Amino acid sequence: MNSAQSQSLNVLLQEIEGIQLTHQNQRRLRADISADALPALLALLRGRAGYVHLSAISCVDWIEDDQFELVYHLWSYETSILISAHIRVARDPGIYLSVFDIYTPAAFFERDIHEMFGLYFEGSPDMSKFILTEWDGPPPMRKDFDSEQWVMDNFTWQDYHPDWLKQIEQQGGGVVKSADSSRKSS
Amino acid sequence: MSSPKTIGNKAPVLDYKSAGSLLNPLKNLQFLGRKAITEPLQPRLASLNYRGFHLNDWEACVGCASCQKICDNAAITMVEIPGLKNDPVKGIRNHRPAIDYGRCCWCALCVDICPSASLSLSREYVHTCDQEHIDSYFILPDPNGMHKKHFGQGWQKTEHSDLLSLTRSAMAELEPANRDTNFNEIVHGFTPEQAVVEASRCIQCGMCHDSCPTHMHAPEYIRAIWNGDVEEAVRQIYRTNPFAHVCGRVCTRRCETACSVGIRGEPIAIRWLKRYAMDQVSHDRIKQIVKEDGKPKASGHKVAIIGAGPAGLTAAFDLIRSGHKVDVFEALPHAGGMTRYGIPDYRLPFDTLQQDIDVITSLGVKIHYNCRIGTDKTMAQLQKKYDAVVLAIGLSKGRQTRIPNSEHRHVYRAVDLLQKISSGEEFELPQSAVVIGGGNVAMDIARSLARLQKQQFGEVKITVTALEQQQHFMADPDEIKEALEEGIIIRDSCGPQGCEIDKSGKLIGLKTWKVVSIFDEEHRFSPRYDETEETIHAGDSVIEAIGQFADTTLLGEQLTEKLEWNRGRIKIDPNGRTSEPWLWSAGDCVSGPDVVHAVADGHRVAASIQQQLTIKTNKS
Amino acid sequence: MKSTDLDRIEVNPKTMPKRTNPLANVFDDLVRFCRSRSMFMLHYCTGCGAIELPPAMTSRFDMERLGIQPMVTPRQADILLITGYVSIKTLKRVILTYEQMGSPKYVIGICSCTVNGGMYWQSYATAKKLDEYMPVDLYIAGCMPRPEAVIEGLQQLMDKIKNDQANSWKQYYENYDYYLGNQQKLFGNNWQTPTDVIGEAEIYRLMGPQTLGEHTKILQQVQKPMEPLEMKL
Repeated sequence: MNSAQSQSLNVLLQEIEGIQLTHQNQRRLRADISADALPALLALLRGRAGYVHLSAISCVDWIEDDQFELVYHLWSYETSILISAHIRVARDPGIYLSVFDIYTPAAFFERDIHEMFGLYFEGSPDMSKFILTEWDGPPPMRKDFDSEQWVMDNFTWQDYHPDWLKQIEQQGGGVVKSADSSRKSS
Repeated sequence: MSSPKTIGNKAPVLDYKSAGSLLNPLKNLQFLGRKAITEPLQPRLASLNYRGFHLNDWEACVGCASCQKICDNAAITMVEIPGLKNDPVKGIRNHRPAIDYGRCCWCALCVDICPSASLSLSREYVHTCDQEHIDSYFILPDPNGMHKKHFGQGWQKTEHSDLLSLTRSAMAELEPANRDTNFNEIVHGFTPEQAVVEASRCIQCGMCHDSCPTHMHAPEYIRAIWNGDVEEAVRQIYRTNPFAHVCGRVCTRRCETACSVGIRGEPIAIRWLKRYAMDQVSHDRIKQIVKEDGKPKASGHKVAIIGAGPAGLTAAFDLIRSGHKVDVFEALPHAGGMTRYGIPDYRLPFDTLQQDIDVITSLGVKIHYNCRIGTDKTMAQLQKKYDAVVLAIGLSKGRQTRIPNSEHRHVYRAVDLLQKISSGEEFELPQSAVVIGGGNVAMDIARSLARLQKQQFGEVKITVTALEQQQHFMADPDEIKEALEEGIIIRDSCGPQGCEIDKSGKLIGLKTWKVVSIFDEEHRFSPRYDETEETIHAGDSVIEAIGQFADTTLLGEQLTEKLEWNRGRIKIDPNGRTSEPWLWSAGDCVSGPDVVHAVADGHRVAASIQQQLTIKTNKS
Repeated sequence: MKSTDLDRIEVNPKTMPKRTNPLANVFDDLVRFCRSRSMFMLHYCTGCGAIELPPAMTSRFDMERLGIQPMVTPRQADILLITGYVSIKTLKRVILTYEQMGSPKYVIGICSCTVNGGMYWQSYATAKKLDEYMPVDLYIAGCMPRPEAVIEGLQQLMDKIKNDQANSWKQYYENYDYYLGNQQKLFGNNWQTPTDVIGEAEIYRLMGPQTLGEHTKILQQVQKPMEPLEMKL
């Protein structure tokens, strides 16, 4: 990558309205844009900047802001700069546009995100179950899903009762419920 | 395949294209006589730091449950074992960890965190069982190993793997040269950075909570400090202790004795962290935090409290927040009791004490100063006017040794002198003094007098004598260290035998004999002396600091008769109630001299009164 | 395991009736000995513990000297080694595989995860106790157990087979209702496998009082004839 390429990329990206660019280092560029502008950005990158590769789409649940963050990781073999495009989508109703028409592999990523976060992608070819075929609970990677609680409600544990424990119980001892339950309260 | 060609010293080069000889496979015959590399079927000995099954030294283990808390797999369960030592004050619980090998991943975090270094892993690693014996996956590790066979110690705590930090965060204090002529506070307190570092050392085992007389939520407030949320820390502190500034400075800190980090290193500076939290939050904000619960509904009951010391004011703090009207009667012109008149300024500045009292009075507690019960008002009047009366009169009178010539006018009681110094009263400052006693009061008076002597005469002439050996002094080790730094002479194992007076009647010193033993075989106080080792400690006055007693003359003859007594103290039930249904007693006068005990007492009595008054309300 | 579960799993009292011909016993012993010396271990790995198997199989620890060899198909295998955590999705396949193995078959649960969830105890996606879904002959403790421990466990299994103690496979038939119930709890009531376990139990004469029950009733209601899988790319 040379500085000319980098500069022309910058100029090109300015065509998108409201884009915020942060050069994290020489080979990483972060672009924060509004959700509406993302398809235009991707089309621009794919069509005019040689960004043929969508490496991944990742999702972050910002439950306090009531938003999902979607990060599109894009790679160009010409510029060797990794661009990550960040958008925020409202958690409720949790619907966004598919970019399948621009990048075909997006279908898998979107299907995965739909399964794990419950975010629906309109226009994606297949939103059916992907990996969690046996799962009918809430999307498990949402922050409001309490995995430990779910496990406690749905599974049983070994109920060990070895001889040494029986002996101790006979003497009046036994398993202490939780670490802090043994603390004295005033 | 052809044999590798060796060119010069270089590595052999394989010629892959060569077809090779037909007899090449026969070359394998050369391996026929070689020893196989296959391991024997028996399991090999594991390496020296192998992480095998757990071992636990029950003698060293204190049952603090740190291993349980750090275990991310929830593999560790604490089991209460009757018959083992259980002493919360010393920081020992009769709990021992049991390990579930259906969860364990042998990460050894439990070993690395273990404050007593009792847990370790062995070099044993084979365990198999069938379905019927699945209980064998749940074990109570002991020093003998899982199958009672010795395979040797594997992973143990080392300096590098230890997760605890054993040394305290440094804190600034005044140098001896800068403090021996003034009453400035010696300890500066933590800076925010130091406090966070100190708080990060805490492993949240809760031993401190158990050992504290008032069960302060030390793990919670230390965690809050670590999170940088000092206001939350103050909130946690005020859950159990309204004398937060005082206890942040002069507490006897049983918590630090019980602290599990203290087993192998320096305990967490819990007292200084409390002080830090209190000092960081402004006084007005503290008052707001205390009032967060909202104003209680007035109950219509009235409670009188005699004595505005920690016990009395803690009871007042609780009772006013339950909606009762509280009147506190204080014989002296300032509140605080012993913390005001007994503890010198360099340990507890009066204005910080005043802040604690101000928080309590801001809730509506009314303190009547200079109002001595027995002379200004009688107990009978209080009984008539109030629904409940709390006696929190403390230990205001100094005990006397009653040795020959101790009635000389230059023989003083430490508490009397301390009170004079704190209230700024004029008194004849001795040029040289001998203090009898090895407790904190003895250190307080010796160090206060030393400061005054240095100011007035330019030199310190104070000798402290005590029955005990210096390492067994009741006084805080810090106090002794600082006293020595300030030029005070300490003579231990000295039993006072009489004050020496010259012909003109002037006090010239204290005669002592060397102590052979203090207690007899049945652990009763009965000192024995070696009369041949007699010492005269020169001094123009002698100060007795051998303990205090309560002045109960305020009760009046009639009430004294009526009350039940127990060895010179008013008899009380576990909730602090006396044999008279309207009278409770709390603080030093029932549980001995200690601020935090007094606070605990205050809470206990307030809870008992609250219960009583609720019953009364429900009846009417 | 809950005490109620323990009641359900009882070894059928009518195991092998003692044969009168003394030579028959000798023959049985010989069969068991041979069986214990030539076992095929199914090449099926579920979790992290599988990483200890290549050294256990190859020349260093060499389980072949015990007559144990990896085998690629379930129908020819004797040992099903569950090597660590089993995700619910994998569990389905594990059960399919187990049912296809010919009897007698032996299940070994290695690592912590097969006993009580192990380090994945909080995960919504893994099964916690293997013995709820199929009978287990032997557990090997560790996370993961060393190859030596695996070899030690296999030797123990050989001893059990020689002594006629490794009969857990019979329990699956005798208590099929219990295992099916737990499977239905995870996979829903539509759960069915291609294997006709009840029919096999009849053939093996292992129909016990616990073979049929409420769960097998559900199975019989929802069971559809199996159709060949449609292959598509």
